[in-house]
Amino acid sequence: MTIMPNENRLNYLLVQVREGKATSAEYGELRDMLYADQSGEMVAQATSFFSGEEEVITEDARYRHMLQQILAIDKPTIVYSSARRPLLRIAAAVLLLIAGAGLYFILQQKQPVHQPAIAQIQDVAPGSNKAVLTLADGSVVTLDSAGNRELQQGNTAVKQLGGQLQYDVQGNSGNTSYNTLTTPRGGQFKVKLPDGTMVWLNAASTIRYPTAFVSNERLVEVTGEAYFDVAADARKPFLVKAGNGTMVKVLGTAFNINAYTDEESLNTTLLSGAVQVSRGTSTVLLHPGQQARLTSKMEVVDNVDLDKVTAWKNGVFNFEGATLQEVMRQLQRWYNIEVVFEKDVPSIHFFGEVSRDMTLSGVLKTLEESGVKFKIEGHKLVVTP
Amino acid sequence: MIAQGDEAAFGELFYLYLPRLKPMIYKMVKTEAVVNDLLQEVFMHLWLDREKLVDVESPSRWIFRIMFNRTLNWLEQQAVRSKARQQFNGEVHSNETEQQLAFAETSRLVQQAIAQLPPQAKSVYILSRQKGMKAQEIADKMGLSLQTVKNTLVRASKAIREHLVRHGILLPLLLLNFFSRQ
Repeated sequence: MTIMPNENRLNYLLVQVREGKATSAEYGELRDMLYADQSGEMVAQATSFFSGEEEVITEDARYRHMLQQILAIDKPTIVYSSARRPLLRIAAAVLLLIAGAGLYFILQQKQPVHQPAIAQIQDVAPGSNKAVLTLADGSVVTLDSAGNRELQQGNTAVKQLGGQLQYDVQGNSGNTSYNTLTTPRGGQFKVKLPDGTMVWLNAASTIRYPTAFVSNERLVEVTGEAYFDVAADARKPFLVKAGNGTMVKVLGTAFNINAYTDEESLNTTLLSGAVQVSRGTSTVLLHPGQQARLTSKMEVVDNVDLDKVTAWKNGVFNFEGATLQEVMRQLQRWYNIEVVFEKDVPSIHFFGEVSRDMTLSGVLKTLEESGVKFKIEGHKLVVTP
Repeated sequence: MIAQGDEAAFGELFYLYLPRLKPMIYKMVKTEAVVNDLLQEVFMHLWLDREKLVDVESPSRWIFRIMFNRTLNWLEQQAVRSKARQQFNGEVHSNETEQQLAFAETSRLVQQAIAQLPPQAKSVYILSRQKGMKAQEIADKMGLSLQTVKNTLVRASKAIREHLVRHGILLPLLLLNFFSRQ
């Protein structure tokens, strides 16, 4: 049997790659050889060479997020100015958009085709999985997406894998001890509580919880924003304390609580199940799709845009109907920047979604279509209406 | 269905191939930290160039072809960088910021391509990708025939794709007789 010279070469290259001995030229050669392979036989051979046991995928949330980001990449993001702006201004904004797009296109053509994108010098990277865990004894552990560790808190094993913390109760605990998970601006994290409840923590937020739920109720405390997927346990109601004496009582359910102190109201939004929200003597029972808004009084709103409320947890900014200030507050927390308004804030409303994984300039580019101008100066964002 | 932008169908493909591609990429790059970056890059290519999954004779082979292309490309770049830095015990790190910037750049170019679509095509595309409407629903809403809507969606994807090829993000078509589904 005669072996074609190509096959010999292919085999040699495959082995070099497997052994980690290939040179840069050899990597390039194999890459081009496989891409240009007409019949597909070489691709088949390489596939079989590197195939092995399928890996069981465990990090569901991570891959779900990856998939969502990929699908979001070619979703159009559109932004417009509110009708309150004088017509002339709107026309000018539209012209600017067309002119801007045209100009940009022309500028782009000057660049050689295969040049990789050169990032702007002034840009801000998006947030990532970052948090600080304060243990019962006061010691502090810094967590980030590269981490992988285990520690013990009494009879509870605490495991960290990348952006998620997990609590596994191994035996009966004596005293209850508390841990606090804190995300900085530009951070986010996930924690699986001792009862199996999943919590997503947004930027600049905290959650305080016991290392084992021993009493006849499960009580945690939250500041900032968190999304809960509560594990069902009829014997032990799940309670969330937030803000000024607000208590959310939960019975096997999924909800989002936004308790950022710089937002207009403390919002609890129910996605599924049932919750009871109370403060002082006011109590409301929520049904899925409803939101309890707490200011000085308690209000219940129906048919809330659930996509908008949980967008952050799904890796996107949802700016549907948001004012410029609201948008800036979200950017402040995720990019850890300071926002400065040059003049009076215009009443502009936005709509659309943008991936949270973009750098700041990427997000600002879509917002600029409304006519507002932005300038990044280090970690400060100057807004000129 | 994937070519028309069916996200659920692509999602199924994603979960189907993930367990196979992941260990293969690892065998080549030998560094855990990089594997997920490459997986994202591979599936992003497959999604942006999704016409191919319909046009080619063997979608499965196409998927592996892209996987090899992106992985070997990365390995080549790494090897070139290592030589330049003269690192002997080269620890390879996943440069998260680099990955994010590259992703942001691709996203920006896609939005640019969308903005350049002719008005009717842009409207059809927005209704499909942003509002998640099915082709028939779009046809009803805009008073167009179903076939027109389908053709428009395919053309819009092609325009975006061509824009990305021009800017070096997607791979150019090397083979012409490659894409015949008998």
